[in-house]
Amino acid sequence: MLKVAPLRKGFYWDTESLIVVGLFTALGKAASLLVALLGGGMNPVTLLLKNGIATALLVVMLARVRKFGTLMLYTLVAQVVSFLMTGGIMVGTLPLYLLGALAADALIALCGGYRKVWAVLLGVAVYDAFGRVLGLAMSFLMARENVGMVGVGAAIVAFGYLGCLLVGLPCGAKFVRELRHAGIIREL
Amino acid sequence: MRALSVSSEALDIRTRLLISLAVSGVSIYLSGTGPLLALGAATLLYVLTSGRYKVIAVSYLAVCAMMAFTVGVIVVSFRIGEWLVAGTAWERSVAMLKPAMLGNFHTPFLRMIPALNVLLAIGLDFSVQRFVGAMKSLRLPRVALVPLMVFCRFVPEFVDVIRQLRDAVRMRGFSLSFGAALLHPVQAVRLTVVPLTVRTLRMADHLSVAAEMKRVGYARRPTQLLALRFGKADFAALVAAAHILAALCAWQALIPATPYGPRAVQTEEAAHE
Amino acid sequence: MSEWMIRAEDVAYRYPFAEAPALEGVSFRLRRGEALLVTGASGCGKSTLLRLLNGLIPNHYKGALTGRLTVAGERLPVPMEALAKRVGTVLQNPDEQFFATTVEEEVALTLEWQCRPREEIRRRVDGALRVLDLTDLARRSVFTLSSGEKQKTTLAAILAAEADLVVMDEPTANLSPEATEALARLVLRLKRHGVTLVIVDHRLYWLRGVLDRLLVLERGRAVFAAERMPGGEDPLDLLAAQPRVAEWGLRRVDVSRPDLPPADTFGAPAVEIRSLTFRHSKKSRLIFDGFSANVPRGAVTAIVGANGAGKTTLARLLCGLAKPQAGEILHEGRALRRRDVRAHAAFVMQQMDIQLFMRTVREELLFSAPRTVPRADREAEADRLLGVFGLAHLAGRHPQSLSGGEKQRLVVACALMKRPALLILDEPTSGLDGRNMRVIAAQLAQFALDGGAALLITHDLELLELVAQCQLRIERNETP
Repeated sequence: MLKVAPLRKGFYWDTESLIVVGLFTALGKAASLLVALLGGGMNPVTLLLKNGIATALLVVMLARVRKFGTLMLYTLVAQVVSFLMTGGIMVGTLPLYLLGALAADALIALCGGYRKVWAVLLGVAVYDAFGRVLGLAMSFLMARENVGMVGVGAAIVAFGYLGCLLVGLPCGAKFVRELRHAGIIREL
Repeated sequence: MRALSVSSEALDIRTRLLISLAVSGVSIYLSGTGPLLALGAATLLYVLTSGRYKVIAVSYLAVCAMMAFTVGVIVVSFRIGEWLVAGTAWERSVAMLKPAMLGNFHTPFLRMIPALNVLLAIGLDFSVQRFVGAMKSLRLPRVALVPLMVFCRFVPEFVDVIRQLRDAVRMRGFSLSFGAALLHPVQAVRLTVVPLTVRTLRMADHLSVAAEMKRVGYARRPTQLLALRFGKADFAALVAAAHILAALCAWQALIPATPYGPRAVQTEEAAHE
Repeated sequence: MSEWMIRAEDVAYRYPFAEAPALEGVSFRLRRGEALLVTGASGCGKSTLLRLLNGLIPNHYKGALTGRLTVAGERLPVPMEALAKRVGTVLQNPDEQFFATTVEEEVALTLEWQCRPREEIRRRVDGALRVLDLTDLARRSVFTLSSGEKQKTTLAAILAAEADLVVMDEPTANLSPEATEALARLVLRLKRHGVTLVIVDHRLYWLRGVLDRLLVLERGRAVFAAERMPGGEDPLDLLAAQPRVAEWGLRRVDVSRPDLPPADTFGAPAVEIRSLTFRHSKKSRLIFDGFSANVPRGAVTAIVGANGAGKTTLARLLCGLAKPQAGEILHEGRALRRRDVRAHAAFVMQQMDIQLFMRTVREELLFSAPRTVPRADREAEADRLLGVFGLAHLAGRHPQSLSGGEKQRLVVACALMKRPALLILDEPTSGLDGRNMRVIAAQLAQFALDGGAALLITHDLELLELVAQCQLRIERNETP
């Protein structure tokens, strides 16, 4: 009997992983539209929900791709997308964002890798926090003449992070286990 | 032979991106009212060439409303703070915060205007085709190209899927409304995230099979059949933008001692005393 | 060059961790320029055979292969690069195989990634577009194409890549009867261009006069094979003469569009539509302009109309998911609030993944019942429906892990769990084998017999023949 195994050419990033990252970026953009349908992102409840959904999606994506550097790749794609869609100076902070993503990726790897749900949760929590600090730094640059405005920005950012910690991470972990059980995400 | 390039009457999206990047950077450097007002006016002229006056007006109104709301929140919360600490040891410290909290709302607002204008200039001209064109002309390697192609192709698809999902949830007697999210946040996340992720993961399976068969993603840099072309208008726009921005930077540099908000207000107050 | 495009001798294949082989002892041959149909009930192994032919096994799926399989002169297994230039695949849902956003770019895609020179790509793309009459659509966005046009785009991409074997997976599952006829003509044209075709499909009728060979699989084994002899019978006629056709879970060979009476005069109305006017937004086209009709009680009514006539939109309006700009919809003679309409109607949508939310099949059914029904009654009804739809053994499974046919049965069961007065189904049987289609048809007929009003939007002529009793025709409104 002939045992056959996939005959693949070696790119570190196989096309399948690239497709998953592209799809989740698209889903993230479309989901923010869903939240807009729910009544804008500015009231506390939808703000919490928006951040919760985004975090849960990120956790599922990492559980599926399971490769070192996935957060970096995701960041790169998401930032290029937002640059192409809105222009703006966010592209100037890209190296900083990539650095944050690299740190989160390294943390996941150090904590036992992408197969461990808690390691992924920790990585996502750090990644999210880093992104928010950078966002806050940008809003400081924009509104540095008025401390109150920076304060309002900080409050929104902190509240969004609560959505990530309290809704996104627990739901993400739960759904990953469920999807693994259903055979939609590979167990090992 | 049919043209190998897509040309358009409007500006190339790369030109718009470059201008937007430069304007955003310069607007952060500027802090004087004069230069910021001039930059706002110049970028407003640039976005008005699109002719979409109604959308522009609505966006301005929205930004003003957001700004007014933020200012309102700051003023009200500061007044509440003042009332709470009245007669306590904290009163003096809070009073010292007053100029930083309530002074100079206009500079951040003026800085937001150029950013809004360039965003509108790109947004009003946006189409999936232009996005794809810009992406291809950046000559990205496969690691960025494949996810971006998938992104362009599937955002409209997902918007559609989300609309259908909303229908499906409503037919089950639930709504994805503000109230439902407040009462059952976990339920709301389940009803959205589970079907969406399953759909996405299944699409990923099908697409990666298709990619394998079509050999998409199996070369470092593919040939691009349709590439964008830089026109004279693009060149002219870039030169004009460079001149205006350089002039504004020079103006800012000539303003003595770029004052930061709190310090500026304090100095003014000191002068009064 | 050998006259044979495919030679399979005693081919067997088993997926990793599977108990039974997916294919066992399959042998057949196909000449260049011929068309072969592979059919059989769900899970018979036809998709596996297709994956072997296009190289996805073993390049994408692992497993154990025995026997001898030669495709386009290559003895399998070979690397994907070698096979991809010779074999093109049309998947069931073209949406899930498009990467580009315009027709022309999609057709050029494979060549671009083969890093061919621009001029060559341009020449080959233009040639392929011409053969398939797509030249006028070259710059069109893929988002605006009909299902038939999407399929033609996929075929153009295959022709541009100069493949000489085309394999098609359920090509008619999403096509209207007219688009299906057009596809049959296209297959004949491709054969004349020397292209060899392997078609995997549950629907059989459209291939009359097109096929050269036919293979029926059951549990991985070939149980029937036929070929067209010069001047001989059509392979489909040879199949129709077999006594075990229904036992194999196949659909019928001969299907025609039923001639149905209008719904307005069929019986007492459950839903009355009065002077309905609707458009999606201020800028979009007027879909209904003073439209009136009745949906009778105790009958299955087919909604009939061309693509874009507004069939699904009407379904959304009747379910209370959209609000008309003018006119009214009366349910049992009363104008209800939209929330109440949603409570007493059920809507089975095309896309199944987004209609399943819960952790187990049984929970999904319980979640579908109105919260006002006592728990014990809900559980009894769920168990009854699990039995009726043949899902009892899957009660504890995750709904998203079910096969296509099982999911489709579950979604219909969930709709019935609501005990609706109005049941609307949008393409409930696309991609289903004869056996699954008949289960759904029987439950639909029973629902109408119990006094419910059922509305059916479908391109499935066989389902229409089986259950539809009257029709509600919608003409495309051309006023802007």
